[in-house]
Amino acid sequence: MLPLLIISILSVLSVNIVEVSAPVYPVITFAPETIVNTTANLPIGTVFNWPISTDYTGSDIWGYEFTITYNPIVLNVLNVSNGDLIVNTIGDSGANFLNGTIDNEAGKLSVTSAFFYYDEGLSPPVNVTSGDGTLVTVKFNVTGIGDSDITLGRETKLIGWNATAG
Amino acid sequence: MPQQDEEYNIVDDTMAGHTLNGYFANTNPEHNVRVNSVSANDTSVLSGELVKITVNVENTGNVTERFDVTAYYSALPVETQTITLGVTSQNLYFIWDTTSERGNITISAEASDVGSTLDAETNADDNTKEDGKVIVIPPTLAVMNSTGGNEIIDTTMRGGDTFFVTINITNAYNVDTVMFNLTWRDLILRTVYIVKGDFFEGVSHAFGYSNDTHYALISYNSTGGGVTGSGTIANITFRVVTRGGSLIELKPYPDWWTTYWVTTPVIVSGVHSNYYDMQFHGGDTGNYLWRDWVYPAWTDPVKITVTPKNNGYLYLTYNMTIYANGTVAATEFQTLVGKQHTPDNKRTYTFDLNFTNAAWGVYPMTANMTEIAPEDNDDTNNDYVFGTPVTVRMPGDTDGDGDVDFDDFINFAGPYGLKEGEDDFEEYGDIDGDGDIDFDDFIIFAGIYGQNSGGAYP
Repeated sequence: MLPLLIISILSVLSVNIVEVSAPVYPVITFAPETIVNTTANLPIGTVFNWPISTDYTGSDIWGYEFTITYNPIVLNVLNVSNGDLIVNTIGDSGANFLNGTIDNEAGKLSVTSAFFYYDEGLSPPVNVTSGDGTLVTVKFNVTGIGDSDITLGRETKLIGWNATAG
Repeated sequence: MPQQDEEYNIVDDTMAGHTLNGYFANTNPEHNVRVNSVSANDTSVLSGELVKITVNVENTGNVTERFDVTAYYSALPVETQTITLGVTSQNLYFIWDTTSERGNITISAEASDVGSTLDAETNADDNTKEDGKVIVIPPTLAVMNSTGGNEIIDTTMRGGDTFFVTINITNAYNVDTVMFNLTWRDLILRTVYIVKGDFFEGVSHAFGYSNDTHYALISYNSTGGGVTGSGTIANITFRVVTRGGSLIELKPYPDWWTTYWVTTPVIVSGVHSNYYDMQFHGGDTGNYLWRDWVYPAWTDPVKITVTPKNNGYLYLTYNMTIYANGTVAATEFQTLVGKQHTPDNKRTYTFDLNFTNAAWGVYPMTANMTEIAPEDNDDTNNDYVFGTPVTVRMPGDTDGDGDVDFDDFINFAGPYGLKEGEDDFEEYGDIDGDGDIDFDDFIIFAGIYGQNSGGAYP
């Protein structure tokens, strides 16, 4: 699924270089890590989606959270949508997605998270799911000419749950 | 053993390399900014004034940049501003407080943090610019003579004379306190008093301390607030002690004030000498004859008392000479300390003058003090003329009228037969000076009876 997504984005943005670093397992990363247009400037107002995914393949994923910072001169975040890992269709307790706070002046998105609801009536009390997959998709708007590091903050976590209740 | 359900982090910030950041660029970015110019709104200011520094920066790349610009004076930062700049130029303004600064100071600016971690600036050499100087003039504290100069050369000035210097401040900007030390040669000068100047309003001296060698002073504006301009901090009066020269110098107080003041000392020179002046003290009360006539046959001395006084400040050696009718009757070498060393700088002493067998006549009495070393600066008061001369009478001239006649016989006959110490004894009857009035005296009286002094006296 991941290669298809990258190709899809590149086709939308007409970018001609894509670099994907080989992650150290497990990893949370932008997919692709780098979007660079070396031949022409993108028009301001261009909108594109940029997924954040994990290649973790374990079956104990309960939730995630993250922040990102970016150069607001070049990019603004329009919105964030949940990915395909922590969703209501999995398990019995349901899932909750918090899209965080967008600060396009400071260039910061915080704190976006999703997790399965906790329900003491269940055993175990939460659902877990398996990777890999997309955590979120961030929709960016191009606001200027230039470049931007997009940095995952220290709050970024992939959270597991040990479901071996005794 | 059963295991509790629990939450844990599969990936978090403790796992280096488990989060990979993204990078976005919608162009082939060329990062390049430069500092075009650095200028000040004034190239000559008083220390303490605010200087507006204008820095012109330009983005010569092809992407909008967000970067830092820091203005500097010398190598010290004034302020750092972060700006976002498209492909254009922009002026940035910085306010530099020049308090405690001085000299010809270079201002500069630097642009930093340009570009990104993956795409550095193409030319960072032009990110720094030294462009312009600002002369910062510190307050100047100077000691000056009464006419605003730096010399006191007065060859007529002598010990005891006074003069004053002023402590002046110029180029002051919002100055509310001045501290300084004033030093001088204590052998030459002493302070008399200090009064406040006109620079600060109200009571200006918060603390002053002086001894023989220096004066420490903190002067401030008691009405609050700083004062700008020039004026006088204090007037200090000195008294000259002795011959010589001295610098009157302003010194920093405390030491950290060293860089703040530029001082030029007042040079005191030409002080003619220590003021050496011997004079007779007390007039007729301090300088007098114990008796004013004698018979030639008398051998007891005539006592004469003098009271010389050293009106100067140091030791002076001199000869005290007593003259009888212009002839030396007695002389004595003396040393007398000056009033610098003791307030009782005078001495009373008595000479014994011998008039035995002196010719009949009037002997005007004078005293003279002649300095041996050093020179007496005032010779006009070195002589004393006693109000009464010593008269050497004819033997038997009991009334001193210049003859021996019947009046004298009457005087002589009255106490005849008496001895010194007895009631009604009269010394004019003791012509031979042996302590009684007897036949020996009568023989002398009879031998000269009827004669006169021939005009020798009175």
